[in-house]
Amino acid sequence: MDHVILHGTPHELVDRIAALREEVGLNYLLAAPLSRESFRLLADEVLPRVA
Amino acid sequence: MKFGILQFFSWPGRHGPLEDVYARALERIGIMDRGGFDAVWLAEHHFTTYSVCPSVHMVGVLAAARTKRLRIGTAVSLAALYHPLRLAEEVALLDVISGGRVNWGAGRGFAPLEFEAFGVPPAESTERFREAVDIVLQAWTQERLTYASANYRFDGLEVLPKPLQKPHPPVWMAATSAPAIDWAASRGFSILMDPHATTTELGEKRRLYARRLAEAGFSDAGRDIPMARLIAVAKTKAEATEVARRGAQWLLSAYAGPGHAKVLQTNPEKTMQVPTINHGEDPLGR
Repeated sequence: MDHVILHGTPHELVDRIAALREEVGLNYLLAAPLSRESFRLLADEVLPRVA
Repeated sequence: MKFGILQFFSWPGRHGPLEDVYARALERIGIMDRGGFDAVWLAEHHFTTYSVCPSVHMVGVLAAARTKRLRIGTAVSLAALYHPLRLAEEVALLDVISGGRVNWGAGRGFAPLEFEAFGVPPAESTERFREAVDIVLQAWTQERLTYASANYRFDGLEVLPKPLQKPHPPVWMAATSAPAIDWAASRGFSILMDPHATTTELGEKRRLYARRLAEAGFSDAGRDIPMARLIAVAKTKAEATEVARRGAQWLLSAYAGPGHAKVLQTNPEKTMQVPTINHGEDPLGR
C-alpha cells in the first residue's frame, strides 16, 4: 500500500511529494483523493506548501 | 510544480442519490477553481459504480460553466469507443465553451465489458485508439478533412467547431505499458501516468519515456507529465492509513469486478495494473 497510495498527515504528505520530485522527476501531481477530508487537507494544507 | 485533481464519480455501495455524487464533485471543482489547482481531470468509465461518468465532455461543459480559470482535463476520453469525428467535435466544443481551457487526455481503455458493449474487438482496440487520435488531431487542424483508411473515409469534410486553442488543445496520452509509452514517445506526445504503479514502476516508466522521446528526436524539456497518485490525508497517521486501506479495498473491488473478468481470465498483459492482481498479489498491499 505504501508504494501506491500516498498517505499520512499533511506534513508527511509534503515530505512524500518532495521525495517523489527527487525520485521520479514529479513535476505535475495528479491527485486522486480517497476521502473528502483528504481533498480538503490537500487543498488547504498540502498544496500551499508544495506548489 | 503543478497540482491537478483526478476526479472520479464513485458511487460505492450505491449509497445516497447518484445526483449527490455529481453535486459534491461540482462543489469540489469550484474549490479547485478558487484555489491553486491547475486543472480538474475527469475520468471516463462505463457500466460501473467505481466511477459513474460515461461522458467527461458533458461534465466538462458543466465544470467550465461553474469555473473561471481552472483547466478542464479529460483523464481520459476513451478514444477507441468513439467515432473519431464525434470525439473531435465534442472536445473542440468544450474547448470553445470553456474559453480554451481544455487539456485533452486520451486513452485506449482496458475494460473488456466496455469494448464488448461498444462493439470494439479488444484485439483492434489499440489500432482504433491510435487512428482516433490521428483523426481528431487532423479534424482540429485541417480546414477540411480528407482521410482514408480501412475504417474511415472522409473527403473534404469541414469538421466544426475547431478548438479555440491553436493549433489545438494540449494533448496527453494515457500510457501505462511499455508499448504505449513507446508509441506516445515516438509521436512526441506527452503522457499521463497511471495511479496504480508503484513508486519504483513510476520511475522506471518515466525514464523509459524520456529515453524513447530522445530517440525519436523530441525534447523532454518543459513538458508537464501528470503522475496520478491515490492520496489519503488525515489529521493523524492512523486515520490516514485507515482511509488508504479503504481506498485500496475500493480499488481492488473495482478491478476484480465483472467489467474486468475477461482480462483476468484471458489476457493478463492488457494493463499494467490488472496482471499484478491476476498474479495473486495485491498491488496495494506492498
